[in-house]
Amino acid sequence: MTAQPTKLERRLRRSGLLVAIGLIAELISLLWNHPTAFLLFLGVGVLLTTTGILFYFYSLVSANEPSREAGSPRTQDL
Amino acid sequence: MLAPTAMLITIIVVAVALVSVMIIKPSITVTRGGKILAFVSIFIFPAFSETMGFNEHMERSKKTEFCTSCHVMQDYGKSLLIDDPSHIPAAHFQNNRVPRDQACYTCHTDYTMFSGAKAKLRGLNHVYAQYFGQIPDKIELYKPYNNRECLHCHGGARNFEEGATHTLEEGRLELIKSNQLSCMSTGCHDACHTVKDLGSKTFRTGIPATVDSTGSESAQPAKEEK
Repeated sequence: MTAQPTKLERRLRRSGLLVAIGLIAELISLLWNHPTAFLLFLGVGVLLTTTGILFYFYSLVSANEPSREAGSPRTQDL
Repeated sequence: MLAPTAMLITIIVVAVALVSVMIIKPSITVTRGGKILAFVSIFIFPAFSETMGFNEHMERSKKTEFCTSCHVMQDYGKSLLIDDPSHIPAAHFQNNRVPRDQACYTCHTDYTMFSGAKAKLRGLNHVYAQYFGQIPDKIELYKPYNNRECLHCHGGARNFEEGATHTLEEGRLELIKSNQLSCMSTGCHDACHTVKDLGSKTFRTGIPATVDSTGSESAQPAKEEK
């Protein structure tokens, strides 16, 4: 039986998703040689990546907050 | 592809792979190694990619082919190939007086503090105008061309300081240097990007296709005119 992901793990996953999408947008912008590529880099890539990083830090600092959910003992391990 | 760009792309691919591990199995962060991996993959690599990517885009935006990749700029790029030594942009481009791969940027960026950043902000405004705004029928400079940009290279040069026309009257040289008399005054160096007359012009061939939006580099460099 698979253990349910903790609140921190879910947040890490979300921040990871944001960062991954942002990085892929940055990658596409670097492969695309056009002025619009800079807008893609700045408007999508940097925005999503920065949001993901900030959400990651938020996840860390809020990790010790008491969980409202029952059955998430691993939060204490982190 | 340039080596720094290839390196940056490799770093981003590695970063995406590492982040994917975090997305698939976030529970690995219970271990010390997992925490380090999370920090590196979600913060260090992406932050580095953002910084390097921004720098790469800044450098790329200085390229002549970048400027001429917009439809409205293509005639201006073509005017660099006009076969006329009195046409200032063409003479500079064809005689390597400006770096060919950064021809637009070299002449159209103020040599002042933050001028590069200002040019980039104007560039963003141009991209906005391209897609959402109104492109003017006639492309004009934001302000009259400042002699400072010419003198950045020509100032102190013998053919400028001792040029017969520049020293024709007493004080003319000072007027030029202080930007009170424009280099592009009528009768002086006034042939600049005459895109209206492109149809009647002949063009120099055999010049690297840095102004060609197709990106072809098959042509050979033109030789210095004597």
